[in-house]
Amino acid sequence: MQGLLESIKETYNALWHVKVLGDSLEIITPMVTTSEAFVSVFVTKRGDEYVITDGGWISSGYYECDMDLQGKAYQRLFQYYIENYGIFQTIGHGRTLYYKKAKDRILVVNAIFELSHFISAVVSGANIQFQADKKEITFRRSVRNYLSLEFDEGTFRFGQKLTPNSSIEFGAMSNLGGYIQLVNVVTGSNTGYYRDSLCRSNMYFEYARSMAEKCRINKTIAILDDTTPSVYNAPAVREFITFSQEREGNILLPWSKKSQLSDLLVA
Amino acid sequence: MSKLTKPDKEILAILNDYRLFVDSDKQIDMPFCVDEIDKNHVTDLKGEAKLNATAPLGNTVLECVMRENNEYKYSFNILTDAVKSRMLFRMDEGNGTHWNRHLPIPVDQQQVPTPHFHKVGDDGIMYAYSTDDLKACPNPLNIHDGFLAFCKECHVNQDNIQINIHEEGTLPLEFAPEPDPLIGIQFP
Repeated sequence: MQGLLESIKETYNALWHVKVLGDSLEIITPMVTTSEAFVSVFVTKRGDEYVITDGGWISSGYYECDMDLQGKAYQRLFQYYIENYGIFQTIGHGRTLYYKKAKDRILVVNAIFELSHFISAVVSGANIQFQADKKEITFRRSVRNYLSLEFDEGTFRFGQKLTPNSSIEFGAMSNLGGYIQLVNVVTGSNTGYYRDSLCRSNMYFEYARSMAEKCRINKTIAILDDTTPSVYNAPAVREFITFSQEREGNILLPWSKKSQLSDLLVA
Repeated sequence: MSKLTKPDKEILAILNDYRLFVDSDKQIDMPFCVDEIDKNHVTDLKGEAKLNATAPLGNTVLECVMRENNEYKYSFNILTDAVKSRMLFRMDEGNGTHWNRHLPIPVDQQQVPTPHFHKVGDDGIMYAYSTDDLKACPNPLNIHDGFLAFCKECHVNQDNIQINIHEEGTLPLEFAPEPDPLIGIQFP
């Protein structure tokens, strides 16, 4: 048995690798994801502090996971690990980076340990099929493709937060005429999902408008999925759409009228 | 074996043709141009060229994706219309370490850092591997040298191997040789 332990330790130790990338290190760890990747973390220095980060790999999709941060179940899972491991986040090069810091060199290893477990958990968790609404995922993707295709490069940023510490992400964000415009996507495969999606969008917009002056927000636009008339025209959905239309500040744009979006953004 | 890792039944059914294709000489028009902006990721550049093989397997193309305007982050893919999964052969650099979890070998040997190639094994499962030639290359490996390594491993053109990377309608960009992914990022 002594020999077995030695062989386990030897194999386990052999899983660590380092790549030198300029002033940063990529550390390949023994942690894995169910998407068949080994977790990498990046270590760099800012001032006298060490920064340990995922390098934006989670949000860039390098772990081959489609994070559905709008989905309730996954959002809870994600938030749980963020809080449990004390993970910070920031935006750089248009991506979200998750990170921890260590002042003390000997505590860098702790941060690597926690961050790599965090990456493994949230990536593997993203591969779990919760009661995810496929319709929502595919429609959201179509909107994103449309916005990337029809508008100039860099017009929209996707899945952005108003402030790094906010937990709310907006579907898309543009920055035209010195102001910020927020775009949300409202969809759902049945009236229940659709209504939830609309309520969530309204709530997020209301929250954003409370900071309108500070964050220079001048437009909040909800793109409504009208590709399934039986859902879109259902009384349970219409009731909420009518109510939302009557509220000040809401712009609701059915997907079939998406060509009006560029005018709405700058009007 | 993982429940998620399943053999590609379509390729298993034509495994012999698949092996012949991988080993056969292939030809594309040179230079290979990577100059289209990816519609979904504006910092990614793509290129595609028709690929002819002496032992063909459907209509095949060579595709390249260079991510984040970084010449140390890219994939070369050989795609076909003959199977649903489309992917026949691939090379990756800068996008993570693959875990060949289905192979009955110790876990440290299942771990394959980039750059690496992918092909379908005898069990119908695509796996990552490296070669002595690839291990002897600088790491990280820039896209120009990566393209040479890819062409050699998959028998694409014998000579005159050239890759041009630039956005359409612009002059070829000078990419910074700096592979530090965190440069310029502040961590508050």
